[in-house]
Amino acid sequence: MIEQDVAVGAAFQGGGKKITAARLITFSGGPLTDAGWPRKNIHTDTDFAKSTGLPSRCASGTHFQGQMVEFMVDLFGERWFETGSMNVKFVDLVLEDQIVTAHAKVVDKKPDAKKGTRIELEVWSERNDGRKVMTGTAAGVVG
Amino acid sequence: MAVKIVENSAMDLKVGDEQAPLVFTVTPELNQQYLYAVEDYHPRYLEKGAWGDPIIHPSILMNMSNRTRSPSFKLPAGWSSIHARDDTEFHSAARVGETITVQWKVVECYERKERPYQALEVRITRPNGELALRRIAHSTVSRQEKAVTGKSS
Repeated sequence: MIEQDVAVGAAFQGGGKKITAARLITFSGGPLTDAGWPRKNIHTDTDFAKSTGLPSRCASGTHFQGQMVEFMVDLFGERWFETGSMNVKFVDLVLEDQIVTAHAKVVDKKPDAKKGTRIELEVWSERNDGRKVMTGTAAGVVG
Repeated sequence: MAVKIVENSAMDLKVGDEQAPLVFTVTPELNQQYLYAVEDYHPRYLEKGAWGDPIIHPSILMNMSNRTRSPSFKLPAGWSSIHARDDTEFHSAARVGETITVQWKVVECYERKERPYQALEVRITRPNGELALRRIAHSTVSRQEKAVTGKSS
C-alpha cells in the first residue's frame, strides 16, 4: 500500500503474469454462458489472428490494463474505485505466453484538504523481453 | 433525446454518433471467470468484508466496455479494431450481481500516421444510474496488407 509519506521517486512493481492461451480465451472469449463460447477474435483464435496479419493470438489491451488496475487497487486500496484515474497508451503487443509486469513510480504528491493526498504516478507494463507495452500516468488518493 | 444508432461499419461513425448500448449482469461466475483470467483472487472480489458486498473486478468493466462489445459494432472481414489509448476515471465500485449498462459515443475523429482514429466516450453505469467508470477510449483499425487466400494470383 502507498502511504501519505511516500517519497517522490519511490518505485513499485507488481507480480509478473504469464498470458497463457487459457487466460487469453477466458478473458476475451465473452461470458462462458454465451452460445458458441468462446467468441472468435484476434485474442482467442490463432487462425483469426493470422488472418489480420498478426503472428499469433495477442492479449487485449484491457487484459494488461486490467492487471494494472489490480496493481493500483493493491497500492491505493478500495478507495481507488472512487478516486482513481489512469491515462495510458498501448505501444506494443503482448503475444500468447509472454509475461507482463506492472510498474509504477511516484512523480508528484498534491495535498487535497477534502480527500487527503493525491499521489501521481508514472505507470508502465513491461513484457519479459524488456519491451514496454503500455505507458502512461495514474493517480489515486491516500490519507 | 433519441439515440442515433449507426449500423454501418464502425469507421463510418461521426462525432455525436452512438453505438448500441450493452446491458449485462455480472454474476459471481462471470466475476470469477475474469479473476482467473487476470490471476487476481483477492477476497474483495469474492466475499463480503470491510469493503461491503463483493466488488466486480475492474477488468470485466474494462473489457466489456471495449467498443467491439457493442451489439452494433461492425467491421469488414479481415479488419480488426486496435485499442490505442485510454483515459479512465473510476467513480464507484460496482457490486457482483448488478446489471451494468455500457454506452458509447464518438467524441472525436482524426488521422494519425495515415490511419483513421476515433475517440469514444464510454460510460459504464450501475442499476441506480450511478457512474462506475468513464473512459475516453481511442481506437484505430488494421487489416492484413495481403489477404491470405490459399490461392496464387
